[in-house]
Amino acid sequence: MYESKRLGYLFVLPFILGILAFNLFPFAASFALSFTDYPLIGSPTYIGFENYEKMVFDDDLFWKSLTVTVSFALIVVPARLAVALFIAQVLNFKLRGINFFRAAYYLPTILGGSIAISVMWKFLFQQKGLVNIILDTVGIDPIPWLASERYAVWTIVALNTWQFGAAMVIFLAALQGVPKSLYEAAEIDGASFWQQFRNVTLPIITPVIFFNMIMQIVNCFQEFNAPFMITEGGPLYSTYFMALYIYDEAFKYFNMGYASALSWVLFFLIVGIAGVLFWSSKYWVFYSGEKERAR
Amino acid sequence: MFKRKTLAALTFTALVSLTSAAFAEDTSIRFAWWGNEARAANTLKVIKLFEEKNPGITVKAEYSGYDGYQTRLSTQFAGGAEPDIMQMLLAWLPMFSKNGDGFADINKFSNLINLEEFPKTTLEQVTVGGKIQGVPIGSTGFLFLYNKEPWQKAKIAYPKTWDELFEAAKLMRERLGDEYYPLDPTTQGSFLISLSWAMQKYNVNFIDPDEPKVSMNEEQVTDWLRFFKRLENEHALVSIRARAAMGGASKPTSQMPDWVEGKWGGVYSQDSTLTSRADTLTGGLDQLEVGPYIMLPDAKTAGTMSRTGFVYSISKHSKQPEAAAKFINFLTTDPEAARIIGTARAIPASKTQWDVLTNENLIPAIQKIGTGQIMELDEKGLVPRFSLYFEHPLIYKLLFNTFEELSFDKTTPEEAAPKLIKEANRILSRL
Amino acid sequence: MSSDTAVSVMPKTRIPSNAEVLRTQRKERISLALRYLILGGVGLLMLYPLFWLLGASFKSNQEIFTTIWFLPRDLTRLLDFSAYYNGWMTRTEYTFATYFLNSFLIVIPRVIVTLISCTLVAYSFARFEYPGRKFLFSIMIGTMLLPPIVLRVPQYLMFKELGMIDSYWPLILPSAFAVDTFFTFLVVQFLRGTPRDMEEAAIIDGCNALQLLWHIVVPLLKPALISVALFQFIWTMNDFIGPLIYISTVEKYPVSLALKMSMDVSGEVEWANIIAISIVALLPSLTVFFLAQRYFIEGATSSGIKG
Repeated sequence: MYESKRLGYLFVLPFILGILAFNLFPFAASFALSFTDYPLIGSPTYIGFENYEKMVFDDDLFWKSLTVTVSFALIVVPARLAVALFIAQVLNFKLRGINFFRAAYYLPTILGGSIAISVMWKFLFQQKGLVNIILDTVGIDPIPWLASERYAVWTIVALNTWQFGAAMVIFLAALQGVPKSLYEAAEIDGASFWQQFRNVTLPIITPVIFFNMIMQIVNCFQEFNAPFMITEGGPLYSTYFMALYIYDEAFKYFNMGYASALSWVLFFLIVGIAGVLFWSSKYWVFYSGEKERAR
Repeated sequence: MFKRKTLAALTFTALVSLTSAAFAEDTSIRFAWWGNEARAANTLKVIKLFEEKNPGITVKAEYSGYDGYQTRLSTQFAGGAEPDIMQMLLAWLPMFSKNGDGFADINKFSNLINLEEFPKTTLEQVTVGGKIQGVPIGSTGFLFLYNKEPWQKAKIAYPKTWDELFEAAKLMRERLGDEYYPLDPTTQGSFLISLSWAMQKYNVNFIDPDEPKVSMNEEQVTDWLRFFKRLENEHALVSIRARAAMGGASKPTSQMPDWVEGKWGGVYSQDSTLTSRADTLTGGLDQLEVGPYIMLPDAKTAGTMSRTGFVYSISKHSKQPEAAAKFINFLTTDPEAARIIGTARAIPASKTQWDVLTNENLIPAIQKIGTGQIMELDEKGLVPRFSLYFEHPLIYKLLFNTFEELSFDKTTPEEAAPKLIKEANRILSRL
Repeated sequence: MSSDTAVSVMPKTRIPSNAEVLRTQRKERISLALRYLILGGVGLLMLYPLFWLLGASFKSNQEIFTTIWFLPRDLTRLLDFSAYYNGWMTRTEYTFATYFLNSFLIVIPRVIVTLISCTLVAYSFARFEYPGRKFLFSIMIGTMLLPPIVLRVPQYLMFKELGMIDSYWPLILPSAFAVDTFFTFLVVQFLRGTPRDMEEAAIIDGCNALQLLWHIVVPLLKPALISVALFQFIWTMNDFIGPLIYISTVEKYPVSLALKMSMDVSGEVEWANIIAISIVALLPSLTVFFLAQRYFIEGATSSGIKG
């Protein structure tokens, strides 16, 4: 039955319609706008590749924010994945009070980008904030987090790591799907906790690890809320992420054409990375539901 | 079956009659503003009053918080679906209305809006290409607002001259400690305080108020930047860098712990936002005092930036511009409206409303003093004219970056000055 | 309390000596203690900021911006819930009851259509073979890689042409067509990782495609679908920019928009009210999380059926 092409198309039909109805026009429009000067008020004028040329040859801020974004992704993607997977693994046991812990770990994620968070986060990281007080008690000199080109980005890394709940919940859901009989078999073979994790759990949840990895990369490259709320890109543009730059250009300075060009460059960059990951997934992602390789 | 049909028919006729009735006699205008709940509550009351007095006109209130307001508005603009009346920041005018064609020209409604009510200079500021692009809501200028406590503790009088300010900075630091500063500049203030000094000295503005170009020369700009460095170095201002460490360069003064704890002697503040500085002070408004405007001897201008903070603009797509104009007139000049709104939006720019508020003691005493000070400076001809472009977001960004780099010692005044002039001219030439 | 794996498995293998049992028990107790220590420690780190927020809703303005300790200095303030009352009532025409109702009017239909559309589409992507499948799949992935900021204006223009401005349609309709890639992709990955044995058996028994989907695939996907519902609920609840752009009538505002109004800092601010109402705004998401959580555990205990 799964060979029925007609059924396949039938089920995917909503998506095809959705793409045509809701995505085709905005995508085409923003791509077209990237070759124009469009001040939002008034109409766009065609200027060829000027936006792209300006970006590459005459815009230090573009390179700066690109560097900031990429290095941020390099830190946060692995950090968040590791923390989320580790905590999910720890939480996937029947322990008394486990519900409480699961909720506790997920709570920060629910809070999302609330203004209360921005008030609180600045408070934690200010000169005399909680973080510095803790550092002080262990004998480390206080760090001017928010006034340091080097450290400001870490306040955002911290916020992102704190809000790892979404990835955790997905891992948790995946861990539910690992058949218990496999653990029992491993136990009989005398496998340690680590060996079980490595040889039983990990391979089975690779599809979900892959999913989380792609999603985290997408999120990191489009990170907007945290720098917008906490550092506003500063100091000295050290936390000026691409999404922030695009937003400013589009809605603060009314350079919609340039903002579109920036977005499409970012788009192709992420496409490149995602492409490599998809290609590599052939070698490390194990789909037990896939006919050819599963059996 | 029968029942359902009748029901449907009934609903249909009801709907038709409702809508046709609505179309028949109602002129409906949309009015968008941002602000807190107090502002919303008061404005809604004024709308009700207006609707009672002008049967046939309905005002649909589209209020929201400041966050995202401009994003929504620009999106609506792009779709030509903006509200009939919108509250606009003065700084946005040159963005939304490059040549004065972004909004309906208020001059056309001078029979409906009493423009005599507003000071000429204020109207001049909102004119782009000869067309008035909005009705001024309030007028607001920068002044020196102090928290009594540290000054009394250190037994220092408020400074009247810049030398006295430096002296006060020294004494306050000696007597109270390193964390004590006479003034917090806020974000914008860092360049406005020092600009005030530079204008007192050279009697020339950074950007020419009459045409979009820089009017200071390199030496003057260098001096301005040097003076800023001196203010920071000699502890007269909380530095941009120190502010950043305390939670971000643009964190409002009232949220800074050192302000709450009375370690900062004052703030270079607009008179319209003066009362909100007391939000987090234990003593409330009683703890605040307006100090003399700090001047150089024989200065020809005080150099304070005074202008209307925001305006009401009418959409050029509006189908009911007359009704909109009528409503704006009511909102900005009617005495009854003034009594309801009070200072929830700003200190009113129109004469009638200002008189109502002062005569009937509807504003806090300190507010009266502050606004009075700006008015007095204005009467003496000491308030300079500012270009509408001075607050253009791109110029603001340029100034902020330059001063941030200075504060972080990434550049020197000598190095930054020519760059600042060149960049500013480049931005201005494109507008 | 015991780690059930050890207890249930050990006796089957061989009979352990007394000393060995003791040793395992001790080892287990240590590992248990260690687990609680980690969980508790990290938990505190996670939760402290939230305690602080909760405490802040009972503090005065000055205290909020100066104290790091979460309890208010004057503990009697904890009995004063006026910040919650004031935050809820607001000073405008509508109370938060209206805004919550509006949020639900957006969130609930959206969650439902998302579940249906993304299950169907994911089923097609993960199980069927047809030309163009890979192409469509990469289009789907591609749609989430463009920063959404630049799509806003064109999308707005489009919905304006469709006459849907100032209604909830622009917020709900796209989800009915599986364009929320995140969810479809998530379900696809889960499905691809799930063995097909049961489905194959059902096909032999003569199940048709929809029966198969409903009776076999959906139950298998339960943990994934629960997370889809959970995320869509929370994200839509928190979504600010969507409603901001499309909804201009205050009466139709969802909670996220109304919150920004409460939080506007132009003018005097009572911070306790702001913090109180933003805590209240979290309650629906929190409730949904607790409800969803039951299913995760159910999934865990009944997972023996599979495999």
